[in-house]
Amino acid sequence: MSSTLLAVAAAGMSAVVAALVLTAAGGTDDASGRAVVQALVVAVPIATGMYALRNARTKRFGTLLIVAGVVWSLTALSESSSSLGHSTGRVAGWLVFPALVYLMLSFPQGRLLHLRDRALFWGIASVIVVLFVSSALVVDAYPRPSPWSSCREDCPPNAFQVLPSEPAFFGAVVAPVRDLLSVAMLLGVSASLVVRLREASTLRQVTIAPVLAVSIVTTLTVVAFIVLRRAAPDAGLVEEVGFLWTLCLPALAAAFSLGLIQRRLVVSNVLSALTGVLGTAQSPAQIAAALRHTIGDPSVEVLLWDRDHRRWHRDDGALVPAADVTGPGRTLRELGDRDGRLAGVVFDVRADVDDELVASVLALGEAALREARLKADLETSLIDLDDSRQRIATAADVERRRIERDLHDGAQQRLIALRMRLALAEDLLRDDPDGALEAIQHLGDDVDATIDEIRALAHGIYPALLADRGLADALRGVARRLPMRVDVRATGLTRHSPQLESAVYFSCVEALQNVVKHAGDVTRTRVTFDQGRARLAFDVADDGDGFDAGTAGAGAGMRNMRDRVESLGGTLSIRSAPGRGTTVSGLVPLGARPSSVGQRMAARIAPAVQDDAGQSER
Amino acid sequence: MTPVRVLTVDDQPIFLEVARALLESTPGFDLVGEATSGVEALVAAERLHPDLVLLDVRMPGLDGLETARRLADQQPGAVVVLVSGDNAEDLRALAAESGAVALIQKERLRPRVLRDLWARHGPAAGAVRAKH
Repeated sequence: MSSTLLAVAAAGMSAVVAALVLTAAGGTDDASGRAVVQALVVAVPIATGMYALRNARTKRFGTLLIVAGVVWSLTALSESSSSLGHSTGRVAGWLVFPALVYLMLSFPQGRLLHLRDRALFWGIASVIVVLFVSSALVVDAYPRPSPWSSCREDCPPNAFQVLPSEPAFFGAVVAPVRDLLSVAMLLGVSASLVVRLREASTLRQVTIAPVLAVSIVTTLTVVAFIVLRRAAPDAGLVEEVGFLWTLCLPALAAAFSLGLIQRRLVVSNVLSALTGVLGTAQSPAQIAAALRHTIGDPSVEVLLWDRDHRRWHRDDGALVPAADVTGPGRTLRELGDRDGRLAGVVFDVRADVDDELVASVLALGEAALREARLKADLETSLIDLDDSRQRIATAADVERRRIERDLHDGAQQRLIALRMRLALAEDLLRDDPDGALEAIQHLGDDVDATIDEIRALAHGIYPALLADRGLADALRGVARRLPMRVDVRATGLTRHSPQLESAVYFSCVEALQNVVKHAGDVTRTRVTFDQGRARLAFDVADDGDGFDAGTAGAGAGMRNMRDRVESLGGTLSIRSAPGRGTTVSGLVPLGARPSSVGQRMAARIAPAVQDDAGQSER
Repeated sequence: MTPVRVLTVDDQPIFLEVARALLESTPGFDLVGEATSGVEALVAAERLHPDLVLLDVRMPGLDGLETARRLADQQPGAVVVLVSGDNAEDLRALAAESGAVALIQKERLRPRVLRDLWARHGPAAGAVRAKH
């Protein structure tokens, strides 16, 4: 709290004491009653104002309350029997009006937000200054009866009068006019307050209703007082209404405190209810519904950001026009992670919205969205992982069947035939040694063919060259059997685990087979390995026909490669354009141990794609 | 004595080839036809009326077991011997139900085995059994 405000508060408190002393010394019948009222009138607003100063959100309002309280305290001087004291008190009674009206119209922001409110404030301020305060220079005495003073006919004379006597037109013209203007403008204030109350969101109503209600009662009381004083100045009712009017400021302060407390309750209820709802919300639509309900703004929407096309869309995929996102009166609150924005909450900007609550509500909404997003991502990853595992398992089964088939149709049949021929040669040896010799030579050829068959099969399962000499030499071996020129270049390439080497090897073989099958007119193909400290990059680039990478879907071969590389925690990408060749690039991390699942996958898919490569050797 | 007319059936050409050599080396047996599938075998049997069919168990499409079953209906006179390159023990029960008289591991085939088979399951054996 600043020292200025402390000083103001201290001055206010001194004024309270002074007011009490003066009131008590007034000598009227109900002096002590008036003293208590005066104490309340000044102490409650100042105390509440000081409390409100502690919070940045209510600081302005607190300051206004203290100022109003201090000015109000001067009204106690009206009870003074001295002419100067009484006159000062009565002028202060008028000066209270602008402060009070400002206080009411600016609640709770502490600022006059609407043109009509500014007009009302300045209108009243002008009337007070021009028609009331200035009149102190001309009138003989102040209007009677007054809520500030208990004197009737015996009031001290006006100390500020500069004219020898009050002009006749004053009582006849100015006084009725200023009363009329006051009544009109105070009714305007009431109307403005009613409108504000009706326009406020449900939540806001709870907070501001007490203050606005008291404000409306206050203005209507003042109106009634002015009207009654003019109609029946001697009626007892005037005094009673006047007394009621003096209670308005403390009532206003009390209502403000009540509003603060109520707001706390509502906010905590709203937030805890929202937390519960959001806990079970699954989709952005459900989250949006919860926010709509909480903020009381039916226009709240949760939008999702389409990173690829850089535009907003709704949960159901519908695109959102820019005007709906950033149009007049709309506010967009973006939500993102380190990779950029993900979603946004759009809502109506209203002057009357409780910013602090909206901020809390939106923060909760954001957290819920983020959680929903994470859950969805996780589910997608799990599904991807599951798909990948299934493909790998299927590939492994297919591969086992292929190996069995190869063995059955190839080596097994040859060996069976060999055994049968051997038996025939045995018989022949007895009956026809020359024929037997020929038969045995024939058997030798069969054995050679069988050896070749088994060698090719073994190569398909795990190439001997890869096991013995590593990636570069193994791929050079593959390259020699392909119908085009292939350069294999390796920078800093060392040996790695069989899982990594086979995954990279079979990915490259697959890419090379794609070049043979699809690339068309290729003059050269280059296989490059570039090993860094923590990763191994490889690519297979041709200068063939290329294709439109945007339209061609990934084939089974590409998916196979991707599964292999991703099982090592790596990535695989393909770049191509018609007439510009094709480059398949992979990047696998080194050193970091792949997950045990990843290892198993890599081990199981190692032979899966060898099909064609094996055949090319036969 | 008229030679035994033999039909060989296998999708593996290598077996048909070695079976040809086997039958050439086995007096009293004549290769009258070769088929590379079950369907082909049924057609050939209809036409050739073989005495003995050497039928591979594992073939794509109509396999040896099913072919044997149909041959038993279609050519009751033909003696069907199933031959297998895989472990024959696994197939015993199925082979017994198929109407084939025997199931032989391919690599055990040789002239003596062929003669024994015919002696045990050929019509002469039936005649012997009939006399009993």
